[in-house]
Amino acid sequence: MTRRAMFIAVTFLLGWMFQSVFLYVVPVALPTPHWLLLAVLAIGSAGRTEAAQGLGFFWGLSLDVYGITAFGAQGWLLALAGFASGSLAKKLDTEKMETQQALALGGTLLYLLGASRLIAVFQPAAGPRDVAWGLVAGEIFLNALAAPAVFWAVRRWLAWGDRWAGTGAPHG
Amino acid sequence: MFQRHRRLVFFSLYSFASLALLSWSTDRFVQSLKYAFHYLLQPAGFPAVSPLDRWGRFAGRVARLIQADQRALRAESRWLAERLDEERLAMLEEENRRLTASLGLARWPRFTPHPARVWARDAADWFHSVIVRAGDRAPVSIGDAVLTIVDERVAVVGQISELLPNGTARALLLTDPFSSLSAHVVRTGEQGIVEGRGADRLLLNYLFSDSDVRAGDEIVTSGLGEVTPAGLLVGRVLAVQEATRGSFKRAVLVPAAKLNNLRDVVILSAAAAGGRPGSSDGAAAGAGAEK
Repeated sequence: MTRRAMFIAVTFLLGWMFQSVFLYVVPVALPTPHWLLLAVLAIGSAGRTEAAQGLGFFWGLSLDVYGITAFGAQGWLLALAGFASGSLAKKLDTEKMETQQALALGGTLLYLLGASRLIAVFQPAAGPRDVAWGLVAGEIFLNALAAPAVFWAVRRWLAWGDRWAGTGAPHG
Repeated sequence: MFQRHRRLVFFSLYSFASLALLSWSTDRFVQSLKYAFHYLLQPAGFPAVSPLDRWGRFAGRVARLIQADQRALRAESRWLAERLDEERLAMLEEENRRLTASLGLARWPRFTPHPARVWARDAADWFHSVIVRAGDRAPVSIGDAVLTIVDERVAVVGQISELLPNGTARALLLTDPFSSLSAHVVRTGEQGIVEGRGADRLLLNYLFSDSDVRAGDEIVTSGLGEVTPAGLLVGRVLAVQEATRGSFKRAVLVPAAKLNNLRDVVILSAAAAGGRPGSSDGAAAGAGAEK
């Protein structure tokens, strides 16, 4: 149990470090894959719904701390993404690349839509007046493109974690 | 019951927490929580970001180095261009000085000067002749003296030996073995004949054995035979060869005209002023006339 908690904590830190590099290097005006969202979707689709929700919630809060969204907005959206992908995991063949890309596409679309709605409700003064459609389309496209690689890496990481923690796949 | 709906329960908890954070986002407690989160998260990014920072600094230094190198190259190129301009300017000034000095040649009433350029030079015939071009209308004749300007003084280069098509002519240089010219030592007035040696030296021959010619003496044309006016620079004595039995004293001369650096010359034509005796017999003949 302790090892499993440690593994989740390490996963959280590694995910955040990876995202930090992109936050640091890539200019705000350029679209980049939303690595944490993809990781949450991948963890959820691997049947780890609780881990996906928990990691999504705290990764989302981290993004809220460094981003412009209200504290809690992305936390809730990523937790929702983890819950949704975990719920769909048994109904979909998430081993297929097309499914992974469809999940990334739909997840990103809903995530962006949800973020804009939450901003509109909770931060009416900070909401974007003009939607940067190029940025939105770029992010959706890049997420779909990067999804198979992220799903593959996350599954390898989870398999390694299972061996290290000495547990089987704890389907939540 | 809890186990069956664990996922839903957790999601409800996260949703509730999120909504609470969003609803009380301006509350002091939520703000403190946010700052605490920020404080805890900040070190996590350092291991990933600091190598990038270091790499960024390194790349910045490399970029500055390349920029400095490019600036140095540009400066060098500019410096070379300026040097080239200076060289060109110096050449033009030198040419201007020579041409200006050549205007003074009009002081000989029996001769007409025609400016000309060295047109071609044969590597196999380097110390023998050059091809000059004075233009189609210049009345150049065989035997005309070819002069140049050295340090604003007129020096003899040779004689026209052959007329060629398109306004060109072959000039036999003083250094050719068939070339000869009457000359005298300025300091003593002694006369002799300057002969070519087929190399970059001349020989002043037929000096008496008691001649007082010395190294450094200036040799000028004596004007005999009217091939050239008197007083034109021929060369300077480099060494004196003492007379041996049955021979004359001789002086080795350095030609005054820089034969390796000939560009502009003046052809001194006597034809327009009434012709020169023996001029039509060729340069060798003209030289022979002087002999």
